[in-house]
Amino acid sequence: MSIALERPEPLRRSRGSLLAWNRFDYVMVLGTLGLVAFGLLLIYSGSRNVYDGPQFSLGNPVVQQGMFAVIGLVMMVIISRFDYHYLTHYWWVLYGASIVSLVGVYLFGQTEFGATRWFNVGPLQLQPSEFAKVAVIVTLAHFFHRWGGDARDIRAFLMSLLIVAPILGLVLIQPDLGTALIFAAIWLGVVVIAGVNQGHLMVLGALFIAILPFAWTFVVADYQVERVSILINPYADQEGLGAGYNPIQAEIAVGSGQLLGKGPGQGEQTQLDYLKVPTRDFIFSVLGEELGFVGAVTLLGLYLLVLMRGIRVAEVAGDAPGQLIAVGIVVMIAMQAFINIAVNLGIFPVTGLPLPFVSQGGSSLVSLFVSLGILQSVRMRNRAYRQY
Amino acid sequence: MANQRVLGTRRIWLPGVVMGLLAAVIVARLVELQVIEHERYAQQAREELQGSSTELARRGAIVDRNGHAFATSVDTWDIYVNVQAWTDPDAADRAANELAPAIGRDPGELKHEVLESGLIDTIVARGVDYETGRDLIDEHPPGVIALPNTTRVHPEGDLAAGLIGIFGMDNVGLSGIEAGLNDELHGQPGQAIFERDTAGEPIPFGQYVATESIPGKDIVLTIDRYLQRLAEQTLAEAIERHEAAGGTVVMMEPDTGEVLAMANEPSLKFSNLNLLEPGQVELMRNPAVTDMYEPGSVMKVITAAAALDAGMINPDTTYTDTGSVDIYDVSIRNWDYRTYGEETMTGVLQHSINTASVFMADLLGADRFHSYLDAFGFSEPTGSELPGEASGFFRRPDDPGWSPVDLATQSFGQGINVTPLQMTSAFAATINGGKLLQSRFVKAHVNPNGEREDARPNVIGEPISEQTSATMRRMLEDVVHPDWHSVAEPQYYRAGGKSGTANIPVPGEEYDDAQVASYIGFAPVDDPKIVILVKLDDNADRLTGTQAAGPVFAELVDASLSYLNVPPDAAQYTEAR
Repeated sequence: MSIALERPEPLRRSRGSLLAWNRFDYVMVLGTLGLVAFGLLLIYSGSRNVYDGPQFSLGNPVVQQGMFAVIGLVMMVIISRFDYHYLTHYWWVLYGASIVSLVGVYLFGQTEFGATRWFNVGPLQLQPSEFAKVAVIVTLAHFFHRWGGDARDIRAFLMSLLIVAPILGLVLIQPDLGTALIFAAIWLGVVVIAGVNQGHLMVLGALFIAILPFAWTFVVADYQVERVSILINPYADQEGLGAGYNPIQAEIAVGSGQLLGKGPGQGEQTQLDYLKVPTRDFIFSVLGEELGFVGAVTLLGLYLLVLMRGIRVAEVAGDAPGQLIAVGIVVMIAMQAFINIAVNLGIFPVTGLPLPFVSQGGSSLVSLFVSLGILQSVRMRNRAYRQY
Repeated sequence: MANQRVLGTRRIWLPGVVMGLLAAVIVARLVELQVIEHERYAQQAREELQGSSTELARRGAIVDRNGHAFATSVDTWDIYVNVQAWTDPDAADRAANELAPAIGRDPGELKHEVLESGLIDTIVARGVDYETGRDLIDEHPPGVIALPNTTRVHPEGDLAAGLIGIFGMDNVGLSGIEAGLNDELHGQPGQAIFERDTAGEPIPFGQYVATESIPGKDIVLTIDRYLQRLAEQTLAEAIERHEAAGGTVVMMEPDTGEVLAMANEPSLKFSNLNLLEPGQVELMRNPAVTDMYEPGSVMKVITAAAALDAGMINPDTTYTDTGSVDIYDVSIRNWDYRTYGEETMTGVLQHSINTASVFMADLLGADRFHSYLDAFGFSEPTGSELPGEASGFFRRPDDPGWSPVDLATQSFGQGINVTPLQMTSAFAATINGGKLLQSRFVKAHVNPNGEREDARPNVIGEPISEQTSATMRRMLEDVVHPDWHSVAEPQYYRAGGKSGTANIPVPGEEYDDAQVASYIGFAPVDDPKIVILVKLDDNADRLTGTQAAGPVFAELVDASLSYLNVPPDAAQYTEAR
């Protein structure tokens, strides 16, 4: 198959009225900043056990997170200035780089908690799968665009699977079941919006269910099997800090938070180190404990606000690639948030997914802002590419 | 073409619908956790956070009738190690090296025990003395927790050990007075509640709610430590002298039912306590109240008292012994196979003539004889404070397997099972004016605030009249002091008493060769101050009750009454010279 390398779409020179800052989605950005603010508060609360240095120091995780947020915001603004068609035009660069970096991390990456997911670049940890998510979204958007914005054709459907499959496979062998799930969700979201034939989806779903038992036995790692079984009965392994320890403590933290929470910095589960990784994977439990039901629902509201604005971007986007990119990014953020929260509430097996915009971690935060920048880019150019 | 959009704009909101549903799932779960079941999780969080330790109350002391302590509790520490502080091998090594010498253990072994126990808090030492515990608290090796406790000390050593008994680490009595009076002794445990972090360390300034423990009551026993020592030593000597397997001495104040001394051999020893040895668990019983034996001829005292009280006989009633009595096809003979001819009832007791006691029981009939036995307390526990008292057993006419032979043998103490304490108490009733008193080991309870509640003598019944009792005293005096010399005669006091020699029933055989030689008596005759039962089990020298236990009785009467400042009977004194 030949995919012709073509010049970028001719960009309109006179951007003035069409590429307007007044179409920049400030509400979405404000919602995002609200999430980041939640994150800073919770990271402060959750890191008091491990960090007792000066408040204004680069060693303070809160300061670090704040700096990454600033970097992210700047990146977002810069990227929003660029036409997203640059991305779709150079999809093969992004896609190729994703494959290479995922293979690289498999061969040379840092192993932590039994999974190889990171590169250490100086003080930074880079997670290629963060980058690969955007690359896959762009690649899928471009592909369906080339196919006429349409996934009804079985060939288009199968091709889109072929695009996702290598990356999904590379993520699975890290192993990182959670991120693999995100890729699957992105793919599903994009093909649904691209108008997939429901029959194709159902056949694929049936096939998936058919091979699941084999995958369960031969592909899925033991720790993943264990995580699923402790979801059903977290109290089964009671020896020492059993496998069910984290979900149990998270559930207790959230449950004991009650309606209004115990107050920032007042949650015993968090402050006394019962919750592990309280600034990353289990940051939502800190929220649940210290800010209670009201805090948790507020956070959910912020997510819905940001994501609904994202869907609005997809709705008004000027062309199919813009729409599909927007949908892909929304699904990506939504699924990460859902899975992370579901883990904290003990209704999903433990996966190492951060809570978008909230969990401590520069790599994740910056790449999320980059995604937002792409969304803004689509949003700001809706008229430029619209064909009435 | 380039600006083509995807088909349909409504579908674009599909992800929004899905997101709304997912958000609804999350909210539902949040409502469940934080609103509906919040109390359960709040409780779990508190429980996880709160360590609580039960502080056992100081156990009451057990003292003798004059206030000398048999058992008392002193402050000590129990040392625990929290394994979470020892997860780092270096820290564990350091802490173990610091802790081990203080509690006299090997560091390696200690570390192994803590790490392998599977517990969060492992107890590594109990009853660590007060000073060592304070030092440990000051040094505070990581993970080491010292909780206050008390340890039982026994100032009188092994004296009365079997009677005092033991209790478990949970402060619950297991045997003896410690078990029988556990409710009074153990007090109310207190509770310390502290917040702790995941390392199990109490949080500084964490809320500390403690309910104070309430110490147990002190128990003043009726036992006199001098008489107890006298009883134990004399018994031990007698057992050695007669090569007996064991024995019992009971001393009782006849007018109050107070037990002054109770010695058993073999007995529990605090100095050699190891319940892992099978034989030692046996020793937790106090055989003087839990084990039954056939009293033998001692029972003739009761038979005679009953017959006297019922007016069937008087001391001078004569009976002509022919050497045997035939009941159906069973021929009952005298213990020495002699034929005594005509004897008074006093003579019957002096010579311990079996056939004559059969005659007395026959005069009464089974029903009347048994109701006397009931009245003397032979069918129920004496009601003392000791645990596990046996109630005694004898066969009645409506019991299966009853035969008239049973009545005949019961009259001289065979085919009837009693405890030594029952025998002592019934004998006391015979000579104290006819009142059966509850046997008692407790003279008073002393509350922690010093209030003393004295126990009062408790009359259970009056099996015989005062007059019968007076007659019995005279008759029994003549048994101890017959016209000939008896080895059971005390040197300085006139006493009354009766010997008994019974065979020990062994399952599968009617009677074994083993025997119980016993003597029971009282002194002084005119105003009895003490009842003493001496019982030697399976004495290998085969001496009878009078020969083996009689001299022990005499020795104990002289020693105990002079200790109790009872003036010697002048006549007896001179006669003895």
